[in-house]
Amino acid sequence: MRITVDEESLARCALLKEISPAERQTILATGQERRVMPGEYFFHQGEASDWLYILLAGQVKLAQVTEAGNQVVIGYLGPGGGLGIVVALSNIPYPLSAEAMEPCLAVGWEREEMKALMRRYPQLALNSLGMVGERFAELQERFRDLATRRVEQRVARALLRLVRQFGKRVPQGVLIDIPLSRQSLAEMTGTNIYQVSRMVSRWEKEGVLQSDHQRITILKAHELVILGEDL
Amino acid sequence: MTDSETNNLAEMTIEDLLRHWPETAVIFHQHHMACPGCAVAPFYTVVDAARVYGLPAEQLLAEIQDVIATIND
Repeated sequence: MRITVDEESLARCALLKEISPAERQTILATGQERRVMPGEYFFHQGEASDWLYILLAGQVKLAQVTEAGNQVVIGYLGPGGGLGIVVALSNIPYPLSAEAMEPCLAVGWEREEMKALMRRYPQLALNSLGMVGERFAELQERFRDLATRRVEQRVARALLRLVRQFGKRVPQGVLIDIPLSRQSLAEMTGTNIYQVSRMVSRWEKEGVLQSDHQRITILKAHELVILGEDL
Repeated sequence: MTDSETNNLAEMTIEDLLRHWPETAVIFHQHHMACPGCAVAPFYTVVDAARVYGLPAEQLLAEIQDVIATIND
């Protein structure tokens, strides 16, 4: 691969943690550059998972569709995140679709290539295990939320998870720096757009958050924590 | 602790504070504050936290300084 990537972006990649800059460059050189424009897909649910990627720039939405055609948003990925890491290694079809929400730049490796790299650099395999562990813990938390929390709490907790992942301090509060429609929020929390709209409007009126062109800024994060935690 | 260090403490995010001095978590627990582990800990300062919990910031900062002082001894 010929693209040059700055050290800072590489250091942010969970897959390349604790690997020396020189080795990172060697690993990177075996990969292929992939650019995906907004609305295009890295892969679709059900396709053979021959490739895995690390995202260097842009944002990706991970979603599944049900047989009835309903979409469930599994999560969002930002720079440094991994795509298809586990499934490609397990050789099972992609369980979800990965859609670019912004112009994305990624590096991809074909399965056998990555397996060879992992044998040569065991830290890569350990890192991928860590990434799976993190995703697994997050999904367990969301599963618990779905089973035990009220809709309002689920939406509050989903917003707080996004704050953790994409939060940026701005003068008014904390901006969730990804485009986030009410429909997507509904699809993340197992509810519908009407309920989410009602909640978001109420929170806006109460000054808890403000939304503008699909960008949400949390003004009173503490209120949201209290709502989400039953404090 | 000097004045400039006190100012730094006031401007530090809660996440940074807890990373440098994990022992200070006890102060938050004593005040029933959910700051350790909170999603906004990387963005909020001790002063922000004092405000949302309705505590005097100077008091909270002083208590945190006391804990830090015992660690540095």
